[in-house]
Amino acid sequence: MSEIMKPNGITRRGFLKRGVTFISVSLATPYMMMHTSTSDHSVFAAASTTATTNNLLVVVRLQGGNDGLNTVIPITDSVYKQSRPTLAFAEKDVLPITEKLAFHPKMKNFQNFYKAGKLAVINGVGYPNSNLSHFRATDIWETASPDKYLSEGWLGNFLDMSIAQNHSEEFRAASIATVGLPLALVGQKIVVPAIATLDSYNFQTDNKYAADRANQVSAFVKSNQRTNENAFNDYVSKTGLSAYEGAEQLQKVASAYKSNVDYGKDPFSQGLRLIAQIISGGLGTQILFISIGGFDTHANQAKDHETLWSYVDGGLGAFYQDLTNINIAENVTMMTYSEFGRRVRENGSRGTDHGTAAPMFVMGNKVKGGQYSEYPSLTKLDDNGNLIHSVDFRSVYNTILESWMGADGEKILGAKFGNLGFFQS
Amino acid sequence: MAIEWSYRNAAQLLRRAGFGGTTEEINRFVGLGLEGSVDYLLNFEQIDDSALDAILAKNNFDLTKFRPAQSWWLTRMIFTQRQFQEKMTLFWHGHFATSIRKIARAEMMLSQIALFRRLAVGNFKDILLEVSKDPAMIIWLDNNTNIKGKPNENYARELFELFSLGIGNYTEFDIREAARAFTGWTLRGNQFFFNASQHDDGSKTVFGQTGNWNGDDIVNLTVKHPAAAYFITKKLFEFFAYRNPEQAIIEDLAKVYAQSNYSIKPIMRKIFTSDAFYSEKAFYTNVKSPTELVVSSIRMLRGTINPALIPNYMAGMEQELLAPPTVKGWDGGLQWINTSNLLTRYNYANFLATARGSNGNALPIESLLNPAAATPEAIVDHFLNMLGPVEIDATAKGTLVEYLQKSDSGNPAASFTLDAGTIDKKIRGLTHLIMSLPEFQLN
Repeated sequence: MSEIMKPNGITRRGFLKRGVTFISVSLATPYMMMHTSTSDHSVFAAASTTATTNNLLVVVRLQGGNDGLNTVIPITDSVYKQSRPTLAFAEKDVLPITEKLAFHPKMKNFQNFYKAGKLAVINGVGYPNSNLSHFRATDIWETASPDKYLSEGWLGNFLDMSIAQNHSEEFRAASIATVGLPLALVGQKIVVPAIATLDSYNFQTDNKYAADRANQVSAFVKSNQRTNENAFNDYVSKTGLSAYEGAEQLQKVASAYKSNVDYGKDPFSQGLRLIAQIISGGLGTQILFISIGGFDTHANQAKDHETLWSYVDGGLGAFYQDLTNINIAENVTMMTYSEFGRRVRENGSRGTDHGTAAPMFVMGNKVKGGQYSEYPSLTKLDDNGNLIHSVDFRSVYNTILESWMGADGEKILGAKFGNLGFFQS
Repeated sequence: MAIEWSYRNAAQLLRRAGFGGTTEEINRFVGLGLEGSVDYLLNFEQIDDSALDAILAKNNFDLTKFRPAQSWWLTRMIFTQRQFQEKMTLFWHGHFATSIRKIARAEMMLSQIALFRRLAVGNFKDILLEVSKDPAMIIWLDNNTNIKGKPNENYARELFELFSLGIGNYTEFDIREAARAFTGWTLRGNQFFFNASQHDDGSKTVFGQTGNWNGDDIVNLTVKHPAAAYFITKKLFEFFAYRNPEQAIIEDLAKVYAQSNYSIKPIMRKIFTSDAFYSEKAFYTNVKSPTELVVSSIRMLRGTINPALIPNYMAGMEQELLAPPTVKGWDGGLQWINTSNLLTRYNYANFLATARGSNGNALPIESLLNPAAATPEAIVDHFLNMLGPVEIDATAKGTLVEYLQKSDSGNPAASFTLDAGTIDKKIRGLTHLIMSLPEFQLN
C-alpha cells in the first residue's frame, strides 16, 4: 500500500503533491482513486470497424449456476429425456432454434433475437477442471483466471487500461442491482459505483420531511466546502462533494428519461430500466453490469427456473425495445453468463446439482447471430457426470474485447485467446 | 508524564479498545480512572455477558448462511459488555484474513472467529499453533494439499510473511523447509487431522536451526524469532493507536513481548496506558472501518437496527465480515473512502437517524436530548459530544446551528422551540448531518 493511503502523518503538502491530479479534476472524475495515473492507451488495438469506444456492453450475470440443458435444450437427444425424468421438456412446449436445439418456453424474446440474426448462442462454455463452489467459480469467471487467485476483474482491467479514452470517468461503468461491487469490475485505478437501486444512489434525506431536504443538503454541502488544513478532512470533503454531485447527476438523468416501454415489476427488469436511463443520459458509460440471483435450483427446479427466465427474457426484451426507441440499440451489446451449468442427470428432489459447461448468449444489432462451438456431448461426460466444455469462456471475453470494445484482449486477459467471430465486421 | 484522565481520553479508550459507547458509559470510565478502565476492559472474562446470549438466541440466526452469520457477529459487537474481547476478535480476523469465498461454509468461518475470541489476548504461540490447525485456515491456504514429497508452500509463506515476521526476515529456503514441517497437517471430517503417512519426518533447517521439525516446532521457532516481537506489536499498535509509530515505542512493546513470554494481554495494557495512545497523534487519525462506523454509531445512539439489514450497508461500504478481499485483510485507511462507499456511509447515517420503529429499526431520538441543553448551540454541542466526541471548527458548528434554525422555506425561523415536531425533524436531521461530516469518519 502506498504511503498516500495512510492518513497518519500525511502532510497537506505531501498529500496535494501526490494527489494533485486527482484533486484538481476531482469533480469531473469522482471514481478515480488516488493512484498515479498510468493510462495505457496502447491497449486499444487497431480493430474492426464495428469496435469503437462509444460502444456499450451490458453484462448480465445469472447467479447460482443456470441450468444450460434446460436453457438451450438438446430436445431430440434421448439421453436428455432419460437423464431428466421430471425436468425434461416435451418437444411441443419448447421454442425451436435448430432441428436439434430449442429454447426454454419462456425465452420468446430470445427466439425473436435469434430469428432476426441478432443473437449468438455459444454452446458448451467452460474451462478445464471446473470449480463447483459458487464463490470460487464466480471469482474465476470474473477474474478470467481459473488457476491464480486475482484481486482485479477482467472488466476492471479493461477500465484501468483505458482510462480517459474520450470519456469522462463518471459512470464509465456501473454495477446495477448488486450488493457491493462484483469482482469483475474491481480495478486498481478506477472505482466503479455500485448502484443497488436508483433510490439508494442518492444523497438520501428524511423522507418524512421532504421540505427540509434543501436545508439538509445545503448544510452538507457547506460543511464539506470548508477550507481544511487537515489533509484527511480535505480529501473526504472533496470526495463527499463528488459523491453528492455524481448522485445528483444520476438522479437528473433518470428523471429526464421518458419511455413508454413497459418493464416488469421484478428487480431485474427494473434494474434494466435504470440501465436504460443511464444510457439515455449520455454519460459516456461503457460497461453496465447487472445480476439476477436464484439459479441454484437444487430442488423443484421447474417452477423457479421458469420464473427466472420469464424475468430475464421479459427484461431484456423490454430493454432492447427501449434502446431501439431511443436510437441507441446500434451501440449496445448484451452478454449473459453464469458461474457454472448443472449436472446432466437430475437429482432426487426434482432439481439439478452443480455442473459445468453451459451456453452463453451475446446479442445486439451488431452481433452476427447463430450457433457457435459444439453443443457438448451428453454421453461423453467427466468423472462427476458433468459435460465437457467445448470452448473456453475467455475466448468469448476476448471476442467481445477485441471486436466490440476495440481493446487488446491478450493484454487484459493476460493470455492469448481466440476470436469466435460473432460480431459483424 | 502522567496521563490526565479526562472524558476525552476515556472516550478515546472506549472507541479504540471497543466500539465506543454512550456518554453514560464514557462517564463510568472517567470514574474508574485510567488503570481501572484498562483493567476492566482487559479482564473481560470477569464481566457478566449473559444478556448478550439472550439477545443472540432471540434473533435465531441461521449460522450456516453467510449473511446471517455476519449479522450474528455484528449483533455481538453491538451488545457485548466484553467490548475489548470482540475488538480483538476483529483484529485477529483482519490479521489471519480468511474468506468464506473459498471456505464456503459459514459454520467453519465462525468456528475460526470463535478461536480468535477464545484466545483474544492469549499467548501468541498458542494463537499461531491453533490457527495452523484451524480447518478454515487449512483450506484457505491449501495445507490440505501439503504432503510429503509434494509440499505446498502457501501456509508456510503466509505464516512468515503476513502472520508473524514480515517480508525480509526469512529466506525462501526457510519457507520450503517450514512447508515440509507442516506436511500432513490436514482435515478429516472437517476436523484437524495429523496424517502421519503424509508427513515428511526428515531433517529440516529453518532460521538456521536443524532438526526433525514438525509444525509445532516451526511455531516455536517463529515466535522466538527476533522479528516476531516487532512485527506483531507494531501491527497491534497500528490497529489500536496510530500508523507509522516511532521506533522507540515498538522497541518498548517488543520488550514486553519477550518478557511476557509472547502474551498479548500485557502488550495491550502497555499500549492503552501509554502516553502515545493519548497523544494528539492518536486522536482522530484512524479512518473508521465500516464495522467501527456501524457498530459504534448504534451503540453511541442506543439505536436498534434489524441486524439482517446491516450487512448490505457494510457491503456498500466495502467491508464484508468473514469475506476479506485477500489474505492480507483490509488495507484500511483511505481505502475506506471513495465516492461510492462514502455515499453509503451518508445513507446509512440517514437510515439510522430516521429509524422510527418500523421493521425493527428505532432511534429513540427524544431520550437522547439533554433537558439542560435546549438552545441550538447547546444541542449541537451535546450531539457532537455524544457521537464521538466529534471535534469540529466554529464554521462547521455554525452551519449545524443554522440548519436547526432554518424553517422549510430555507429562512431562519422566528424562534427555536424544541417541540415534538422539531425533535422528530431537526434533531434527526442533525444526527444525519453530524454523521456525514468528514470528522465523523475518523476514530
